[in-house]
Amino acid sequence: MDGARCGLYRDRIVEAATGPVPPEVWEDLRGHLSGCPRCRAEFDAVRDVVAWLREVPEPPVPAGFWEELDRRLQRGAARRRLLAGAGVDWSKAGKAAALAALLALAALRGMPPPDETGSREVVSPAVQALLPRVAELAQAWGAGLEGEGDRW
Amino acid sequence: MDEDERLVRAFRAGEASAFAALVIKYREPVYRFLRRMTGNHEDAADLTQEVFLRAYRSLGRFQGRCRVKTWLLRIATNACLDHRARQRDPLPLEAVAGLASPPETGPDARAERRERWRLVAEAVQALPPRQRAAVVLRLYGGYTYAEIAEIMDCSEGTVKATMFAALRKLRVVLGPLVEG
Repeated sequence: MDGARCGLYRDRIVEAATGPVPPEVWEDLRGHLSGCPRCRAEFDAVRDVVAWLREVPEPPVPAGFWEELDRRLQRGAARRRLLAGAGVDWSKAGKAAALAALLALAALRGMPPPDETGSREVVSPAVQALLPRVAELAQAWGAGLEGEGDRW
Repeated sequence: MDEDERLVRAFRAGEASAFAALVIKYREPVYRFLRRMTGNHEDAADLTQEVFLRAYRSLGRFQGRCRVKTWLLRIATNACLDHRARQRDPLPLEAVAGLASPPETGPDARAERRERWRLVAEAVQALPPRQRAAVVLRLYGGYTYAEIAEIMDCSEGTVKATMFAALRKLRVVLGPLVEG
């Protein structure tokens, strides 16, 4: 074991124990760990703590919070006069996202789409034109509505 | 030009609903980050609102040097630092260390597990804010060091040093749990 060389691996041990690292970094670290019991023990200890930290589940988003956030943004924006004249209706925007998801599903399944009026009320044709593929839009907005899985 | 860039341009051109689309797209990652950072829903909700109002004010000046999501999480990190500065009595890490004894063995394994989660969450809460942000982004958000450096507006080297310091503290505090 080379103490000075071990110092070089200090950060890599933490990086590798806490998440993904580039393959070449992992290969280099693995080579060092195989010949260095002290760094191996350090890696295992960090990994154990990380496992305890990761065990704590993601707190659930309280029911109705997104709607509450919409209202709070409207109130906050009005208070600060940020949206004077802009007239963004956050609640309608949320409904538009749900509608976009329905449109995408309908398109994928070859079903007739539902009435698009709600979407057009909130997200203008100009913005819709920026997002040419409805399925992509629905997926992105669906992520906002329903979560992105493990990685947020 | 990607979707977010197009939305930012539309917003600058006066299309307010483009901002609504960005809120819907990114409200969940912003909230989840803040929920882990603050340890409670009420503060996370207040800060989520604050983040998007700050973003609305400054989106016109957004340079596009990073992704919109990265930019929002940077605003969220700064909002947390401001929030922490306003708090009167931050929880000292030593106080958590006193709590982190091995859980009592008993018939109710579920209760034990919940108690363990509480202790671990409190240990994370007791970290200094920047260390906490690095840990939350890495362990719960799955971000790379390069992405965390962008979010925290620092070098990758600083992220590495911050993570090392945070994990060292957590090892000391949670050691009895891990070994128990």
